Amino acid sequence: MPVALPIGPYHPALKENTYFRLEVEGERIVNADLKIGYNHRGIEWLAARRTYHQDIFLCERVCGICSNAHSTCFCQTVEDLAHIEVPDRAKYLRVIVAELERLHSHFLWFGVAMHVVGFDTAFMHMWKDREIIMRMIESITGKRVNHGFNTIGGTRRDFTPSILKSIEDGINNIERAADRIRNTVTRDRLVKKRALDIGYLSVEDARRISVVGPTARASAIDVDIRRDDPYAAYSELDWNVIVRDEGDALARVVVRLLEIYESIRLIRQALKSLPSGPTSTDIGQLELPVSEACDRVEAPRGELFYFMKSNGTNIPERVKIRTPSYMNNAALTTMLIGNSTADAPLIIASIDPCYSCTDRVAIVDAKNGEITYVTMEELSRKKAQ
Amino acid sequence: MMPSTISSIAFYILQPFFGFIVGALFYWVFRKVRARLQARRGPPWYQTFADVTKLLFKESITPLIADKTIFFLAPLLAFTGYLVVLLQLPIGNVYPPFAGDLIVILIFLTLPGVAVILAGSGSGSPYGAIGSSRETALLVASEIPFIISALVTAIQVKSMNILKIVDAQNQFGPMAFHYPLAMVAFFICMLLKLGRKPFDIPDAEVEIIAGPYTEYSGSLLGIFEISNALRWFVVPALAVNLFFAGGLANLFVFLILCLIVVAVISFLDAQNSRYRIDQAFTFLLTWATLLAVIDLVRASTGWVQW
Repeated sequence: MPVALPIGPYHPALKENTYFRLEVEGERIVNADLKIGYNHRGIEWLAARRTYHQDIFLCERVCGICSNAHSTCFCQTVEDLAHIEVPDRAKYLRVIVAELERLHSHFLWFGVAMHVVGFDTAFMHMWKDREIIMRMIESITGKRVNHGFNTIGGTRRDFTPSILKSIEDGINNIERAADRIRNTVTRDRLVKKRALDIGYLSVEDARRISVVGPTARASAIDVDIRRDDPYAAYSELDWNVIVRDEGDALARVVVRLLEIYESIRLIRQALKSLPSGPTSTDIGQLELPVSEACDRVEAPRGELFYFMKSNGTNIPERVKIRTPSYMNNAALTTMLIGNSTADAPLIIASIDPCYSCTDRVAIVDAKNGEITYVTMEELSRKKAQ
Repeated sequence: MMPSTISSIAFYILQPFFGFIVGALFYWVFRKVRARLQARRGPPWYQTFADVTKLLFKESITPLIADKTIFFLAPLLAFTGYLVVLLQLPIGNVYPPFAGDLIVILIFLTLPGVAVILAGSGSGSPYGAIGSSRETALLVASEIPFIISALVTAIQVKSMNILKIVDAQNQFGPMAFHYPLAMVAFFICMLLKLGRKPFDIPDAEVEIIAGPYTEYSGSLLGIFEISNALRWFVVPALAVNLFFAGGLANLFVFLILCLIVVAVISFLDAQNSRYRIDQAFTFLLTWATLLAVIDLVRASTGWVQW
């Protein structure tokens, strides 16, 4: 008879609150269920009540790790709506900050993954190396986490020559740190042993669940928004999309590892061919037609999607966000079944889950367990009553 | 030389305190060395004492579904196990009044493992239950190489008496020199007995929180902490007695050797990630057992000796 083993809502392996219900027989997981919703903050609701400029900063706070991806995507959607052309220099600056963010996100993830397999020494050193990137981001944007770098029509800051120099030096340090990660991951026998052949996600399952980002690329799905639907300056740069076909946790490790090197390549190229000119267009009073637009960017965890509907005022009618973890979390139940409980944290960590961006309102009736989802219309009707 | 009654009473009173204080300091050394290897600062030297003092003054909460007797007795059982071993061990030139027998020491070293199993299964928590089942598997797998590697020394000396094993090494050199393979196997099992990586599987915090200790709090957890401090003295001390000639009958050399053992363990802990339970099981029963058996055969047949 299977025993229910709870992981969460508070658990040392989880960075945020979520709840996994694993049904285990001994050490083997026979069934898994995921319950999200511990972190709902009503960002979409708030976004429809603030001006476009306020929303940039609101959307940046959807996620603490891919904050720049959110503000880039939001600004690009508004630029699509208002048909604003972004200066070339701003496009390159956006690429550099986006790739720095991907680097720090992947370093953070490697640290967490090492902690999960019990290699705390590697965890501490990787987070120490991540600090190089955090300092670089701070020197560029002024802040470590919520950068406030993007604005509608460009970026809010420009690189000074001294910052450019420090980035070039920093990138070399990061490359050395990436080599250290590569040595740890590829040479340590125990790490390999733990990650090999666990959390398998087949191509068919990956397509059915529509996973995105590194999770999809580790399951032989060749998808990357940076190449498939180029934004910013990605179409002008030369880089590769990393795809592996093993589909296990080790493949997801390798995909992220190689993506670190691609990001370093991208930043170097962008720095070399950084065009001169203004960093933002003067948009004056923002005039938006009644229209709809959507935009996608490749966040560190995968495809991030924004939909926006304007109604002619300075406040959006509707902002819809679909975050990458929303798609990837759904794959966890498939990945977990059949594995051992000891592997569960690594499998969960292998998709780099992020919960606060995923949570949506669901009202659960405690008496009969019925779940109802509340639409915007009902909410506003309730408010009117 | 028969020790007098007064000195043996003094030994039985002082030895536990000595073991606890030195063990707590060894545990601190371990945490400090590990922290420095991990580019952290690490705790101050009195951390273990502060933890134990705080815990002993706090209320212990027993879960409603826990088996009260087992839940209460398990920490005491772990403590008893280490205490009995401690009172049998010669420490440098301080010999116990009652000469320790190796078999008794090995059996009582199993007792804390049993206590952890009881603690986990008696606490009524699913994490505890899984921790217990992992501890059971590890105990089964580790006892074989652990006992074989310890018995190599006894077979060489042809005596189970730990005092004789120590004395014999003073004459013809430490066992670590004669039986290095058994020593390696013993060190592997020591990592497990100390609950260090790669064998900290029963209380792997990212998987099952604190495993068997999950539901423990207050003074009962404090007793587990005290026995943890004791084990950080007992296990390295046993290793020094069996393989490093008991510190050449010198208390100072003995403690230095113990410190070296602790440092090696800290280094191994910092350099390893955690095994999965089946991988640990296989590793212990193949490599560790193989090393121990090779030296067992050498000791009992007299092959390739040096």
